[in-house]
Amino acid sequence: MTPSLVWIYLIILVVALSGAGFILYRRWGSRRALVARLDELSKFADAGQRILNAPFDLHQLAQRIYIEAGKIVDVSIFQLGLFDGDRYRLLIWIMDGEARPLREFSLTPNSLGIVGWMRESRRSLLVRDFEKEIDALPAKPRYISDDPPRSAAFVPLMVGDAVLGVMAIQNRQPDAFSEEDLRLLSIIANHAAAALQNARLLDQAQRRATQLELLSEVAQRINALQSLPALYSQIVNLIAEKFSEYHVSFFEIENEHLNLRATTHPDRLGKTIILNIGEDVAGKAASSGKLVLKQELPEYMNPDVRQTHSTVAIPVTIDERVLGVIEINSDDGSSFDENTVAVYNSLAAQIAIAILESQNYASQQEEAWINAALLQVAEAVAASPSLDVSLQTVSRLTTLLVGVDRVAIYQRNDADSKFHLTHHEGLGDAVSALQRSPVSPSELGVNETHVAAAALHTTLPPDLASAFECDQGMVWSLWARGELLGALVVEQRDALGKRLQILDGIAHQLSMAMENARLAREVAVQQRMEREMEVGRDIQASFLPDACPLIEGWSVCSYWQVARQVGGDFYDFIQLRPDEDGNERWGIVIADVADKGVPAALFMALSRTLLRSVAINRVSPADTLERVNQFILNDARSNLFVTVFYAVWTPRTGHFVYANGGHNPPLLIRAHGDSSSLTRTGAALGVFEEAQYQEQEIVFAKGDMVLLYTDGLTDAINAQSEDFGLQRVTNIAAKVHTQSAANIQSAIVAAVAAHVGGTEAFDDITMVVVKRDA
Amino acid sequence: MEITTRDYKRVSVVRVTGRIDSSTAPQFEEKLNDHIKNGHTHLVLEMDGADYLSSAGVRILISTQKTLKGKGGEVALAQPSPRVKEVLELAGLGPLFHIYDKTEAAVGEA
Repeated sequence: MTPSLVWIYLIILVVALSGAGFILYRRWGSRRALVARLDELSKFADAGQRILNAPFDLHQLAQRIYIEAGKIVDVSIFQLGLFDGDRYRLLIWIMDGEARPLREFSLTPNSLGIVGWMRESRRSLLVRDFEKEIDALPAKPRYISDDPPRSAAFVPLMVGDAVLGVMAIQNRQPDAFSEEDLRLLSIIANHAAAALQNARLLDQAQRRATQLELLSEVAQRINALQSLPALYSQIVNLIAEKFSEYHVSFFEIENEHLNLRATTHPDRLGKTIILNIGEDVAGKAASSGKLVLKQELPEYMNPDVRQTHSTVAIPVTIDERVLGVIEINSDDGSSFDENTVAVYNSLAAQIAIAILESQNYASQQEEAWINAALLQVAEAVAASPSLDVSLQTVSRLTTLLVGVDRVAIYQRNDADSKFHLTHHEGLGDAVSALQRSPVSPSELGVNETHVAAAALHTTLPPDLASAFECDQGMVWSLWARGELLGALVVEQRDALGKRLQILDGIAHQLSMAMENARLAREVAVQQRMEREMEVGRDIQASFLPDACPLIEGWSVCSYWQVARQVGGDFYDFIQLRPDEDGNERWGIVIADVADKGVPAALFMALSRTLLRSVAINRVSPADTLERVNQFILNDARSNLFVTVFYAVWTPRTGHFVYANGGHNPPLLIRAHGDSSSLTRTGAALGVFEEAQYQEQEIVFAKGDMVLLYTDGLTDAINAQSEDFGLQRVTNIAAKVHTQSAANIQSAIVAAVAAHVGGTEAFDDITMVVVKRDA
Repeated sequence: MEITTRDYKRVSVVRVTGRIDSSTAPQFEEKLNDHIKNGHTHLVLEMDGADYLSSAGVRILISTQKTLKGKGGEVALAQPSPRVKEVLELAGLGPLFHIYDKTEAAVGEA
């Protein structure tokens, strides 16, 4: 719940409570007045008392008022009701001594009836005989009956100037009530009104307090990042359980339809229910983007019970996009009052964010998984001592990573220009026959003169088809430097989705491995190593942004140089939602994962994914780091940790709010040359369970700059093992800080290169420079 | 990087000198793991001669601490070099370890 919403609720609560206090004061005052009256009206001594001491339950209170009124007049026809907006709700209805089911009426301006007239005029009304007086009455009774009452006493229930409701007592005999009766009933009504108001306020305050508690509980519980199906079912179950609603369902909007994704309704569990946008209650909420309330169950439910229930459909929207609809069915039409509706609306806003976060998380996880899978293949290829081992490892990894059962790798033999099966997975006994009979590339559908970029779907040759136990296969031709080297064949599978990208990547790497094998035969082993390392770097580089933000009046640039091993540095630019004034906002990340090699790279992929999906819905860097820290700890299977500097930058205003989780302090150099460090505001991520982060803010003036870097820069050593050091970095930056970001960066890069000389870098060097030019 | 060990009654003092970086970290980790495998639960790392501690080295300190805490023991740091202190301070990891100015004090506390 946003803090401002909490404040609004608190204010409403305080106003309601002070209103109740005022009424209590009034009640006390009118009780004194009553005491004075009781001297002369001793027969009512107890009536007001009993009403005022009645329990704070509206219906019980109405019952008590009925009993007390019965001591004054004949109450065989008795009604007491309260106004609620433009509706009039009965709390008690007695007809000829029998209780009748409670009803409510709407008060339309054209047919207000006597009750409506009383609300406007705030006056009581004595009717001695309807038959005689009907034309002289200030308003007409609304009912038409064969046996209408003849006389009546109508008394408004008033607190201050407001008419809360009406007490109506009627009789089938004329002249059943006197002016004196009316006066006595008015006394009772006066106290009844005060007591009713108290009960109503208390009821509302309690209801509101409970709702607020529930809202906060539900919001907290849905806030944990989880898969969408789990989130949906948690949403419906929590609402049903916590708000005691009859049934709760969630529809997700997909392909312009509403799909039932989760429900607490036993008859609907596991069923496919698809509605069009605009169809039924939920569909109308989706088309209008507004809450829809209907005094019956939706059309697709059992018509026998429909009429006795009510339904509210709440669209779950973010930025005017409807993500889904929560449909709540209630067996009590009155439970959807204004307050409840407001609570549901704010709940829907929470849910929207949770859904969006989960969606981001899911898609980014998928992306990270593909990258990680490819990285694994690349490492396997790089680590293999020979092409033979590489290919065998890759064919096995392919089945594991992609989830196919059968893989065949063919290599082209220069002697006969045919494809020979050299490596395979899952082919069983058929292999030896296949190995004995090479195929021509065209038999696999491969065009020998054209480089094909993507997979071909092809009919397999008979031998292969029987080994694969299917006729159709997917074939990637493997090319390097314009030369056809072989083919990768995988059984045809539907719905591989993004895993196809992994296969594309694997094919690419197989080509490289084969190409490397050729190179190795031709040139020195050293070159092959370089090439393999390049593959690793390429994949690592794919985690990094393609470009720096281009923003008028600013220059931003980045530098990234990898060491021999795959490392764990990364930086990121995340475009965030604009602020309230529509100003563009960016998240800027620089981070360093402890350690090197594949584990570090995988952990880096995880950290980057988490940061992105968490940052995108948050404006506070401290919150973001706190949450990412929790996720990393939840997810951590290793003892790796990551230092992160994260800032939310608003270029137009120059605001730069940051949190520093144990990362090397970025260097701030002001236009006039003063320098300072953006030091730690919390610990490195992935170490402490309850890590807290502080937030700092700087404002860029024209000519100010910030240099973000990793320890690879300051720790770069020369032949004498001397660090480059922060002092050198600061000195150089201070010397050139009036130039553009790119020049500042080049100056530092040149200086570190001069320092290091021929010494091989043992750590990645990463830098981001942000400068306000105008 | 060089590692030497002195065993006391209740604690082993592991003295590490030189650079702990990504190339030497695996040896460092192996040495500490040997101690843990041999049933030592209280270790003191004497680090006045540690010129350099990379994040890979810090990772090993953290994982060793986690493992030992799980066994009711701990790893303490003694006589850390300014460099070691700076690295831990920078990452906010100081609170994870007891740090002693003198090895004798660390041994006495264990």
